[in-house]
This record gives sequence, C-alpha cells and structure tokens, in this order.
Amino acid sequence: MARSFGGLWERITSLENLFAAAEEAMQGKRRTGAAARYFARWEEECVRLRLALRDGSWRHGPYTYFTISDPKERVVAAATFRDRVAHHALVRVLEPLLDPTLVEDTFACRRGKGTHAAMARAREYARRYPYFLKCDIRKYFPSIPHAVLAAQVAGRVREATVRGMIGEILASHADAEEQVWPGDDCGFVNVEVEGGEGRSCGWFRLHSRAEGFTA
Amino acid sequence: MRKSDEPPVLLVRWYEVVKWLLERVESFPKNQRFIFGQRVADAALDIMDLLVEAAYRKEKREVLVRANLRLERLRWLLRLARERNLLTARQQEFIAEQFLECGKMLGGWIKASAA
Repeated sequence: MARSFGGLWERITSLENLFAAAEEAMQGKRRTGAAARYFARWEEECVRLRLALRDGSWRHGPYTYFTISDPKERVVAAATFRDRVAHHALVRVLEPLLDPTLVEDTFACRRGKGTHAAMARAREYARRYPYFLKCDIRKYFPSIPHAVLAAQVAGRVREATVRGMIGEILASHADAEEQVWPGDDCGFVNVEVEGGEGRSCGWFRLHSRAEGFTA
Repeated sequence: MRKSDEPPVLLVRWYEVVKWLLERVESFPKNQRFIFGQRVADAALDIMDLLVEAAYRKEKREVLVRANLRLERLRWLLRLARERNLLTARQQEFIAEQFLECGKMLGGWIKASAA
C-alpha cells in the first residue's frame, strides 16, 4: 500500500504557499494582461483565495477554450488566472510527495522529463531489446475516468478538504472520451516475445472496464 | 451612523498597524532601513495623519480618498519588501490581512461620506 499523506491542507492554504503559487503562475508573464492585473492585487487576492479555500466557498471558474494546431490539432482549456494560482498552490505541495512514487518511465508533465528525455529512454530500450511494441492510447488524458482517479487520489491523500479541492478541479472540466475496445472481454493482453536471448513474457493490462483503470 | 465624538474603528486599527510597521522597519538591515524603510514608515504615518484629519472634519471625502491613495502606494512598497525578503512569512501574512481589512473599512468610509 502506497503511503498516504496528511497535514497537507494547512500547507496548501498557508499564505506563504499562496504567495509563492502566485509567483509561479506569474512566472515570465508579469508584464502581460491577466498576470499584470493580478500582480497589482497580489496580496489581496491571496488572502481572499485563502479565506475561500478555508471556509469551503472556493469554486473553480470556467475555462476559455481554443484550438492550437502545432504540433498537432488539439483543444486547449485555459483556466482563469486566479484558478491557475490555486492549481499551483495544490501542486506545490502534492508534487514533491507524488512525483517520486511514479514509475521512472512516465514522461508527461514532470520536472526533468518531457519528450526529449522520453526519446532518449526509448532509444536506450530499443538498443537493449530485439523487439519493441509501438502503441498509442488514443486521447489518453481526456479519457481518464474521473471517478477512478478520485478513488486513487483518496488512497494517497487523507484530508477531506484536500480531496474536495482536487474534486472541484476535476469536476471543472470533463471530456466525454471513453475507451471502448470492441471484442475486449478480459481486459488483459498477453504479450509474449521470443527473442534471440531467450524468452520474456509480460502481462499488460491495457484496459479493463470491469475493474476500473490502472495503468 | 457613527457618533462624531468617537474615534473611528479604522483609525484605532491603523494606529496598531503603524506601531507594528515601525517595529518591522527598525529591524530592516541598515542599508534598507534609511531609504526604503523610511518611505514605508512615512507612508504609514501619513495615512494615520489623514485618518485623524478625516475623523475630526466635516468634509471627509477628499481626505479619505487621499488616504486610500497612500494606502495603495504603501501596498506596493510592502510588495517590494516581501519580494526582497525583508519580512518573514508570518509577518507577510499578518500585514496582508491587516491591509485587506483596513482597505475594506476605508472603502466603506469613503462610500458613507460620499452622501
């Protein structure tokens, strides 16, 4: 059982953390629109955000949606600046706790990872093994079931207040992407590879609707 | 309506903030104390002056608006102080809350004196 954490709410909603979160959200953007306006009301906004978080009245605002086409076409959901500050406040506390528990070979949205590191790793593996499986889970992030994710978060975060804040952020946006694999009845794919240096065998649970989603 | 012989809550409140701020300024490092600290102290004291004046004056509005402007200037000074780590986290927290409340009260007072 992975460790679960408590005492986070106090840290997330401390004014010190909120000041720093605002600073991170403004990083490199101080001179532009929303960030500059926020900058002029920095302390006030942080005090207000803290009050709203602590008395439970904080609600996530709407997103602005726009489409980018580079590197490929996708819809970007931009939160309001004050919501972005709240996101940073949460991540500042959670990231150092959760990031080390992730498998080393996941590369999205992580410090020191990213596409280039992922490519280097892929190259390394490609040299080590005679076979490889190239596969892509279509619309992976939009298709993460929120209920399952919330249950996994609950296993790591003890406080109802912190769970509530995460739930509020999760509920602020939903893509109706669902992974339906025709003919999938067991949810497991057995991949057996026989190569020159012997035999390696692995069970990959790619999809299991009955048991929820685990990667 | 506030009775005219009773000092406004805001003034008493601000007096405490000034007292606290002057103590902080005294503990700024020497090179900051005389230039930056001086301005913080001046701004805080100016606001107190203006609030006293407003309390004993019939035409309050103009004085209060000036106090509000000074308060906004002081906010920017303290933002600098915070970013330059002249205040500890606890101190930043305290002063940010005081400013928010005093700002609200001042805004309310300005509105009340507009009529």
